[in-house]
Amino acid sequence: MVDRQRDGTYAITFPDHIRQLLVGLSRQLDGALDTDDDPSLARLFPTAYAHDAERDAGYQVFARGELIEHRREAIALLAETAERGTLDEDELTAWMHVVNDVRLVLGTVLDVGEDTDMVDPEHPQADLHDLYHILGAVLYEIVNGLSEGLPDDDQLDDEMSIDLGDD
Amino acid sequence: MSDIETLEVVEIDESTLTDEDRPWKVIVWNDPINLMVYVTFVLQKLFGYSKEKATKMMMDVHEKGRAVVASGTRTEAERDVKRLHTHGLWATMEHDE
Repeated sequence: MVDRQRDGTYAITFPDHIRQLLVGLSRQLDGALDTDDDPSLARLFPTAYAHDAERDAGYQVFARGELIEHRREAIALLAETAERGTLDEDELTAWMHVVNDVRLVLGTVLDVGEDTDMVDPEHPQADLHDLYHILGAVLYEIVNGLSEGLPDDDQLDDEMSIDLGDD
Repeated sequence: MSDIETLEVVEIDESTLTDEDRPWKVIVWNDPINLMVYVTFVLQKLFGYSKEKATKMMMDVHEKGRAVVASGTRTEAERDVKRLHTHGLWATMEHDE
């Protein structure tokens, strides 16, 4: 449903109801970003200094605003491009951020664990669990698409080897 | 991890190092929400790691609970942590031992 094309853009074939779902959820996320101390948003603003509360407070002062701003930009770009059949890398990356952010909130609300799979349809939060899994599938497609745009391993030199060229 | 074996080991007097100089480790922690393919992709994208290296780090996160994904000065580590937070990864930073 996400295919990288020769010109570096991405063909997007998600059905309309998925696109509408993403726009609706992104609006809810946008509204929620202004609420302070909402435990369901904890994963969007993680601790940086695990053993130093004072330094972490300093980090949160500048990082929180930037993280909110970055998320709002992604939400705006998703809303702008939600109906498009072709996205460039920045636009698709914005979709990825929004889908992942909503999943983080939803996963926190549902308190998912490593082995959380499909729940019983009678489960009181069955709809939210379905939504969580749908977003996982959408994210998987987006990430696989974007991964096609990354350099191949043989073009990278992780081991810091130096290419001396031909002898 | 490097193939280079001729690197000189320099003894550093730790007591003279400030927080800025002393190496900080950037750690990604396991969490049950982020997809494995997503974590691998983010590590490749942010740090330019190969798929092989990023996948190994992701598996360490998944199986051992955490992995060091980068290190540097405090400023560099903080920048990397923020980039990881922007991508929704559970990242912290701490002093190198």
